[in-house]
Amino acid sequence: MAVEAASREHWSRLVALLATHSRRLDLAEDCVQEAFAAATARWPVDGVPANPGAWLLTAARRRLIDRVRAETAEERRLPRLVVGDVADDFAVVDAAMLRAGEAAITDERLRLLFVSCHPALAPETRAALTLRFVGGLTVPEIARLLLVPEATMAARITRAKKKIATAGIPFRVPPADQLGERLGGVLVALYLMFTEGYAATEGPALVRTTLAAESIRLARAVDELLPGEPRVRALLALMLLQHARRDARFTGAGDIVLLPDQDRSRWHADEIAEGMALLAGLESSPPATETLGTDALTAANAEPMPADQHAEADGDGPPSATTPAIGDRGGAVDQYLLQARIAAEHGRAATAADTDWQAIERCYAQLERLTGSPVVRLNRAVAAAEVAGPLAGLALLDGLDAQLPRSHQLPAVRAELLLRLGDQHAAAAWFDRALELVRTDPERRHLEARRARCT
Amino acid sequence: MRYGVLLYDDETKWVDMTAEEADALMGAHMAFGERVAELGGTVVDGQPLQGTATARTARPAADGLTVTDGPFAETTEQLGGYYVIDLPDLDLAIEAVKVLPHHSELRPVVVHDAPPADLPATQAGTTGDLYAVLLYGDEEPWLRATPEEREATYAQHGAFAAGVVARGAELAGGEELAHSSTATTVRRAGDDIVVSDGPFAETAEQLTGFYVVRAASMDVVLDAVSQLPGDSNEIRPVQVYGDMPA
Repeated sequence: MAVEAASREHWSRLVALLATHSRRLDLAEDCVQEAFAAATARWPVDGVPANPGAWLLTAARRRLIDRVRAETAEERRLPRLVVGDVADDFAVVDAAMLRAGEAAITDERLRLLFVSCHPALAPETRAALTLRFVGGLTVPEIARLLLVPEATMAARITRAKKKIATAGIPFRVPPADQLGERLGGVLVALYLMFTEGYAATEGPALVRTTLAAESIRLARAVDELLPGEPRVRALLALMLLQHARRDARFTGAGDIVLLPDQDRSRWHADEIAEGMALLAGLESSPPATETLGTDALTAANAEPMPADQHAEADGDGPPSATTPAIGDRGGAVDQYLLQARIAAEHGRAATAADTDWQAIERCYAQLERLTGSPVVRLNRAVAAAEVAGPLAGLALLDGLDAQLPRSHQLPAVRAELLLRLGDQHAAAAWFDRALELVRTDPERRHLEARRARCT
Repeated sequence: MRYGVLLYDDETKWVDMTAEEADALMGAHMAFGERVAELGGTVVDGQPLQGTATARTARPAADGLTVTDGPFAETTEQLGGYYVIDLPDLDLAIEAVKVLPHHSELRPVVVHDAPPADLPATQAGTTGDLYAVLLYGDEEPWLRATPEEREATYAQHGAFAAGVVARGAELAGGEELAHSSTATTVRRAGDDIVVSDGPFAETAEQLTGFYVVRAASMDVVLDAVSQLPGDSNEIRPVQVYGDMPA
């Protein structure tokens, strides 16, 4: 258990630290893995060390040095690719270990974020690398999140690590004049990481608070690099407004609490206020779409995000980062901004009854025009049902089944709307369909409870 | 890091260039050298190639080699020249090629520490023109090759090098390029620059390396090329500018 806890806390930090100084993501990952394997063997015998992170770092670093030395010996025999002498950098690793405070670690992970989102990597690879090395998700988790077979995802990540090492992609934050063009890919990846934290795709818990908090921390770090950049501010506002509701979204037992039933006193008022202030700052400045430049081209190729896992997990205007390709066809700012506005509408409503659903529906309609995303349409249907009744919502769901065949939210929303119309029989059938597709335990329990009301 | 910079462009652009356009092109290439130096690197090598109309391609056939006129691939945008540069990392290489008015494919170069020990010395006073030998092939067999198979292939390259010298010609340059999956392409669209993963042309057969040979004629080069392993080899004369400063 101690090793498991240490893995959650330290894995991606250790990889970041070793990789940025050795410039070898592949070796860093293997060696950290081996260090955890060693911990699994040693800690139950020797006891958990006082500082597990330092123990793991030392173990991983020792393995990394051995591996690099072995490779260097091998390279003397065969033609090689000219890469700087990796061993030289170990003095730096040692120094970094000594000062491995929080700030230094954020810095390492920021570098890893920019490596993972490098334009010389395929767009579908960038999101995967970010989730793996910055978010610390496992390959099977990423494969399911991005709707790709596990073997394909493993091969994709392996190939990317090789490319990073062979092509000499640097482990550093780009200089100021190149930051703008590199930003789009970074924000897409950060938001994807946040949404996985906000509503996990699978497993016993629906929220990975640390992953979401980590995304916010990295977005703040990016905001410091590019002060006042509207795309970063809009994303930060969106994440803060969503994340502020985390403590009210589940019962102590881990069951979902729908938005209307949430105890709003448990929302983090300071975070909502910060999100609102960021939003106000953006609304008062002119639209910044034209600052997108070439980065819109990068973002346009962004990984089509999984279209099926977040909608209405808790009836809580979901982070529609799940929409394909944030930044697609220009207007990354607008997309983040619209979603932040939706979250803000919930945030400013003193009670559920005070929610301005018309404003929310308008935002979703705009967002749908921008993205053409079926997930956005699904959310719009929920808002439309609040404004104009369940039939209006159901009408908007028409034609979505082919686009979201694996979504459990689509049948769940349809079931809820049918239930409101009093059609218990049809509602039960759609709840059953949703239960076939759902992958997290809290959502399953929630759907089962709703299904039980149909009989 | 050492990179091969493969320059692609629509070669019809260079036909009927005005003097001003030619000057601008030359200026951009001068600026490239300066930019590389500014970024802390060096230009190790580089050659402009003549148009594909001058190319000849040798392909393996049942009875040896079949030689045809024309380039290996008939495409609108053709390899028009190359550089070999040394720069600390890919970001700097991308920055450097941004000054060039072409599309660039950046490919890491595989460095061989020492030439084959049995390579005979080039005969003194070798003269002739420069020809680029472009090695195209399916990369997959190389990925799966055993160390023994690789050494056998390198031995064939050694034999080619010896054959060049034996024909009174000189091996004036050449590089082995890393697998195209490690390539990065920098495309120009007007003033916009788009960086992407992978080689310039996503084809099954890729440029895997090249040689530059100084020889009395194209036929001498074609004769030597018959000793090379691999699939198809395109031979293209190097562009010579009469009034270039030395």
